[in-house]
Amino acid sequence: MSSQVAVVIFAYVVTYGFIVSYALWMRSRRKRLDDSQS
Amino acid sequence: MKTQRTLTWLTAVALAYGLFLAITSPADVVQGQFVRIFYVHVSTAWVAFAAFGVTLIGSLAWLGFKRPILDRTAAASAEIGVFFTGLAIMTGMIWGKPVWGTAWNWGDARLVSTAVMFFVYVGYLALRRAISNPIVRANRSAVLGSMAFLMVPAVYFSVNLWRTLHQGPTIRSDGASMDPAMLSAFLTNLAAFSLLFVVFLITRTRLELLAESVASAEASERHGLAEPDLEML
Repeated sequence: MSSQVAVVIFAYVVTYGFIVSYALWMRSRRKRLDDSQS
Repeated sequence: MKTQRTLTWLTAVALAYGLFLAITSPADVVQGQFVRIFYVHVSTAWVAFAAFGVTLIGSLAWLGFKRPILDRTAAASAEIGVFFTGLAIMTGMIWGKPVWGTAWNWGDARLVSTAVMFFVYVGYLALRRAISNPIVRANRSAVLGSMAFLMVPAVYFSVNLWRTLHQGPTIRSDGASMDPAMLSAFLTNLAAFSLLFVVFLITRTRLELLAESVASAEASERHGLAEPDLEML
């Protein structure tokens, strides 16, 4: 039971971790481009 | 910009609610707790299909109307599609290891066709990086982006055409036999991930257009600096 929950948590951490990382990458790239424009 | 911010917050709330329903929905009689992975696995796969659909529409529209935004939208959507296909493969592998006893099976039609689809669209992104002329790049990638979509029905119907390890479609025409709490968690996550796709697509397309305008401004600045050197000659 606890090992099943651990696997589920791992799957969610991987999924949401990648999604947040991708969103943050887009945000930081946007900032860099805005800075280079000004 | 304000609309996008509202949409982003709406997406965050929808994702949080989807996560809550995924946690609180009942465990499966056969799969136990592992069924909760299915809510994100199917949602990520759905977003990948939708993203490749937008790439197809953008590619065909570019070939017809030759407007740069259509090509950039197709490219942004392909990148998002590759990202979510990668997530679908990963969550599937995490689920498959304890439930099937293996994370990957080269004999499985759904798994192998999804991997092929992933690499076809990685090839699309590589092609875009390999060509510097924007018109040639848009034309060639539009042809590939249109043809590559053939992989989507191939992946979707692979479970019907070949009876291998992967189970059949989740929602069937004869009616889904799913617990209402599970169905609610599934549909909420599907809607939340669809919203996430829209937010990512808008952000990524704008980023692509901004990067191009910065690159073009830098190029014209370089040309401006080159003039005194020419005068010295």
